[in-house]
Amino acid sequence: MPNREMAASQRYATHSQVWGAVGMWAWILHRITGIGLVLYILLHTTLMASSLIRGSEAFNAMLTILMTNPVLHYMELLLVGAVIYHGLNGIRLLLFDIGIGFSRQKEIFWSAMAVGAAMWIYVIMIKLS
Amino acid sequence: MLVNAITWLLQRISAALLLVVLGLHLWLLYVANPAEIIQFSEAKARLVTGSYVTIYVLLLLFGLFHALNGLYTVMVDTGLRARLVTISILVILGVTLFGVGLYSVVQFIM
Amino acid sequence: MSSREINAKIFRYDPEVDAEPRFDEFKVPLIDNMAVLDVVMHVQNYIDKTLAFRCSCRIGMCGSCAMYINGKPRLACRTQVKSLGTNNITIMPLPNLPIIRDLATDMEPFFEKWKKIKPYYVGKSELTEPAVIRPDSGEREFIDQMLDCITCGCCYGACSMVATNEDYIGPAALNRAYTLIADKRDAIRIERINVVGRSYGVWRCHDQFNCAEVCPKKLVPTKSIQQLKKRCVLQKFGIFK
Repeated sequence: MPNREMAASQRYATHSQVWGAVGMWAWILHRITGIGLVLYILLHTTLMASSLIRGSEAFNAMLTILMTNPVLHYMELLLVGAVIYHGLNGIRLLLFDIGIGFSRQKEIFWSAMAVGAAMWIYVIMIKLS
Repeated sequence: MLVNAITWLLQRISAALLLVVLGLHLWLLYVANPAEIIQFSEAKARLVTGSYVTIYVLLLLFGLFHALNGLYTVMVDTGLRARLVTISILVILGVTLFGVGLYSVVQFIM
Repeated sequence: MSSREINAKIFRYDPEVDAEPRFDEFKVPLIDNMAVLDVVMHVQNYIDKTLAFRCSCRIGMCGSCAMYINGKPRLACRTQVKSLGTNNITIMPLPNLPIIRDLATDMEPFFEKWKKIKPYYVGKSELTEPAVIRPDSGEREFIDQMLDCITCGCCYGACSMVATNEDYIGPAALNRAYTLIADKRDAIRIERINVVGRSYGVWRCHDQFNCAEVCPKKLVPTKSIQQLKKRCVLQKFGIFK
């Protein structure tokens, strides 16, 4: 049935989504940071255990490698940023779930982002000093 | 069928609790701990009190549930069909990682 | 380009003839207080008679003329050209629905889902007297507002969750379900809860607010859906009966 295929292809091919809305971007970023954090938690738990199984010396050696690598150092700032974003937007979503803020969703988003930016800058200053 | 309601609720509860325990975890690492590189001995010293151990076990539990249930939600959103297979894989993965994580925590108390 | 002229870029596709959709550009003279519906009508009347689109009442009551206009679904008849802030207008059919021809979409998937929640009032048979609802109770306030839905499908076309999961019931039908479930005279609220509480129901909503962003009646389906989620959880614990 060509009509149905057209509907499916049009959904993606013409990209006719509501790209201009704040809520849309809040959701997309929540998804991206969420998936990133899932990958991180898998990596984090396995790395910790795989070094600890070889004793405290191996643990210290592993953390020295991880925490002195300059690339990983900057990636860690991204990680903290993702946690801050996911957490603060998560608070916004929890507010909706208890029935608060539907008429002020954009203002709540930008307030959360202002707090998040301050927190992130603070962490960056600690890490890079 | 209405298990959706329960996992949805648990996702919110774990989210709210993660705000606390993950917040504490990050606070301990970035603000309360000025050392450049984390040493086994320091971490061990922190983990002697029962409350810290509890925090880490809860962090593992809520973190893994929230992460894997979130992943499942993303897959269902995009039209996942093989639900039972996926759930089984995610449950096995979650339980394994919880065991692995508990092992790590235990290494610090022993 | 004269400021008294509109550049209309219109999506064209005839599934029986065209292999691929294309865009045609038309120059339309700008008239004071012109709506986007007047633009497509001008094109059809004076430039290209084969342009297909759907409209009926022209006053925002029937919900026939929803189109994707300059970046979001809107009612063509209630969208003033001036309000777009530009004379370049891109018009596409409502997203997430099959295309019949050009700007006319097939609303069937939308109304199939609308039917799923049984969109009509079913009264409790044991009620012999009219239900007493005190005017100051505020009980009807939110319901009455949400009843303004004209089933134009703007929210359905705007929802990214519908875009990525064609089984999702969508904002309009869930909003309708809420207005019925919240009515204390409703006899089949548990049946309705069981429909909206399935995985293709309320749980696919992730508070994106695209529906509220585009609703020509300024409704907030996200809020209705949140109320439904709450009732699904309460029903699970036996509190909502």
